[in-house]
Amino acid sequence: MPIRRLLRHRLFVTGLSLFLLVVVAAIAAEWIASHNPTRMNMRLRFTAPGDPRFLLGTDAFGRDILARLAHGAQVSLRIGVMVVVFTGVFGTLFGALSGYFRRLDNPIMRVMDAFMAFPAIMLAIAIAAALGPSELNVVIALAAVYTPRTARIVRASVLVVREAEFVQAARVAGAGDTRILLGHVLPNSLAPLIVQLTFIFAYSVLAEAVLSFLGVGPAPPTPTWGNMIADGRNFIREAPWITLMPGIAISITVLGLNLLGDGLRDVLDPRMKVTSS
Amino acid sequence: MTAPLLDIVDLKKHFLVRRSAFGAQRGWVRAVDGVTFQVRPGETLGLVGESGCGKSTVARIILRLIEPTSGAIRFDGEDLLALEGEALRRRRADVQLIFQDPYGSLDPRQTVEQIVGEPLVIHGVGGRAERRDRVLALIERVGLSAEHLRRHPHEFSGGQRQRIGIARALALNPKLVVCDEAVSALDVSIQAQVVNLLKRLQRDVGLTYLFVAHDLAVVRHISNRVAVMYLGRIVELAPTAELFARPHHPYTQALLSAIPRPKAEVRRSRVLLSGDVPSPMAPPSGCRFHTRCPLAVDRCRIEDPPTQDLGEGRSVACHLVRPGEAPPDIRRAP
Repeated sequence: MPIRRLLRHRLFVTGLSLFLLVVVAAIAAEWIASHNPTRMNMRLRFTAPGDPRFLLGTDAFGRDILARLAHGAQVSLRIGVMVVVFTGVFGTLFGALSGYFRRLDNPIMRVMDAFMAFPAIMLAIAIAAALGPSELNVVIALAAVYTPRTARIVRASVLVVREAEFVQAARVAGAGDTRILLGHVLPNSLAPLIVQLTFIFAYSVLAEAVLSFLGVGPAPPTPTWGNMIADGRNFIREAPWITLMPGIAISITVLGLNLLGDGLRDVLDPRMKVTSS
Repeated sequence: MTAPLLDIVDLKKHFLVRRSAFGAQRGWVRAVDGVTFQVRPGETLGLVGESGCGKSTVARIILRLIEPTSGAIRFDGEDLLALEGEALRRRRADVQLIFQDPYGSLDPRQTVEQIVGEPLVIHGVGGRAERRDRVLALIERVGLSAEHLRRHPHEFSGGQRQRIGIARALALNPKLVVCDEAVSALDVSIQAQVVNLLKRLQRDVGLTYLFVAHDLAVVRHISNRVAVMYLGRIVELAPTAELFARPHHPYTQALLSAIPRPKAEVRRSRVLLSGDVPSPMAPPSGCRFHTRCPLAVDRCRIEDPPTQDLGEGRSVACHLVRPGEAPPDIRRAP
């Protein structure tokens, strides 16, 4: 069983624990932080961490950093999940079509190449800036950036699997293209996709922070890890915790997801072990 | 004589190859270059030859996995190459394939029940319960049991996997089963079991086999008639006993002399062919075998020998074979 092998993989378990920590914080945001994440209190600004009322301190407007972190986790995870879903669906669709139907290969993959010609984060910023600052637009921008990469990975494994003898066996049995593609080729090409999607989740969290930092993420006052860092950078000498805390949150999430992805890769898709993304 | 089940006339398959990335140098690999033979209902026709001689290509053309360049195939009186779409799909039920590789030919994510049942699902045979019963019957017929149904291919040995592949091939009650090196990947002890299973199934269900292999001992054991292929052509076709007792074509003689013999006292001089099989991209002029034939004369280098029917089911493509005369003998080559 792959699950048992995963649970014996130490790095995977570490990654899973870190990621679950963030998930729990996001789900239990209302209980963890009793404060409203957007309520300002100018008398209590720059409270240092350790204060019994504000465990992780307050920011320049006297807002509770713990509350903002927990709510920021909701935003990050929501965006991450949506990017993974969109990328997974469209990446699989384009990758499977171009890998399986030779005639579609060139038209689809050349468009994907065009997208990949731009540096990922520049393209994301351009799209997000063009669409305007909102959570959905961030998702659209990141999905547009990561779909071509995912399509390429799916296409590569579809190209391998479609030549397998069991595909010929299905054809001999009378199976049509739909049945062969959905019933035999795709299920046997998904391992690299699953691994890739965990990494894309991590990239999305990071990229969303970058977009928010630059002001093209979800509009303030929605707390996101990126705009928390942006808000705190003016006070980095006097109140380093304002930038430090969301920085740590991002690191924990990205590290957790990367370890998770490495573990999945080792177990599901040992051939990919050499390449690091 | 009864009408043939499978009638192949002048079948050709040329593959286009590009040697450089830009397609500058092109060439044709003449994998199958004019193959004619028939398979009669209920018999087993062995198709032998060295690797690369085109025998697997012939098998895959019959299954319509590859489209031939030219030629005709009639199956059960119907033009097999003219079938398209739904008609082809329905006809596929009658011609099934047993693969060489028992590892690659089973989908690793399916259970045995799904693998063997898939042809039934595709062709809409029976309801769920009915299919279950049929799959169980098939599985038992090939020597596995109900407890194996829920397992995945990786839980089986090579021989067992090949049995699963055989059960799948039999699911639709085919008229013709093409065995493409069906036992070549198995241990010798397992080979015998599977060959005997195939023979028993043929007796019980009245199957017709086209048995493609390179192992002459196996072919001799299972076939009624044997066709010998060399470089995309059939050089000799004869009833099994005849072929092994008195091979006419020099290539057949060389091939048979290479069989290891278990009894030391029956000494037969071995004939070693020199050189390699010529490239099918540039087959030799005249008789394709002349570059390696110790008996070749000038005529062989120029003129392509036609296939002559020598009666008693034997046909040979060689200039040196003449009806009513003793066949040439490569052991007496100068």
